[in-house]
Amino acid sequence: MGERKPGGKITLLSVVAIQAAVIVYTGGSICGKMAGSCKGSVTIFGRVIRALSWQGYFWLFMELVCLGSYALIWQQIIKRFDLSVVYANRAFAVCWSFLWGVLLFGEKVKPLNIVGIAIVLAGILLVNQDADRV
Amino acid sequence: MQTGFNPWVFLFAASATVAAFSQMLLKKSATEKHGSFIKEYLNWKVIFGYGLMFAGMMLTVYGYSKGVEVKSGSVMETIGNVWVVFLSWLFFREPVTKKKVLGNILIISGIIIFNLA
Repeated sequence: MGERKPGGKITLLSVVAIQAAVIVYTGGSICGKMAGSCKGSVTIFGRVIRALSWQGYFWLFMELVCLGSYALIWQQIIKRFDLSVVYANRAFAVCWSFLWGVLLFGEKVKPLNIVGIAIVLAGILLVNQDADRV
Repeated sequence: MQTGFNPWVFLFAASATVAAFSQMLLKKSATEKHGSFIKEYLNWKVIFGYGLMFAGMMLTVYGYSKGVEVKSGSVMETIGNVWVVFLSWLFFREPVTKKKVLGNILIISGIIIFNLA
């Protein structure tokens, strides 16, 4: 519980960086979903074992790449900004996940989805107004 | 199909709580000086923090296996926002301002409304 060193406001560039991390994070979930849909089997010493197909392992690997990249970026972001502000920005994952679902999996857009995302965005913008650079 | 209240949904709140504590460890490490870039990641706080986060994820996987709907889980996980604001004040003296409180209320409301669709 050290002394705080408040600074300037959060910038557009920093918001973009935070959202880049969140996009990578949600990308990991998409890769996980893709991996789950690639069921297959492997033969080891003559025994057939139900597992993921090779494509499945590729997507699983990509999920790990996404989560690892997210962890790298996230640590740099929370070094620079208040955690309570950055974490609020992470809630926009709901929008990115929804966008992936619509674009990649043909999920339907419902009015309440749009209303919900707009309210989340309003909340994030409000929190960002109180952002201090550390 | 799941009908009625599923008490396993509270696992998602537990998971979000664990994740919030893991964020504190990550932030604590991020505020400290490290000898090199790699040491910013390879230290016990970051490793334990992500271990906690993984344990939290396992709780949600178990919750889903108990029939919790994705939308219910997502709503319960918003408790993490409340935890992070409180714990960030507790451990790092980050101010709890009116805008932060109102903003997080909007965020949680938005996620609830999103999942009503």
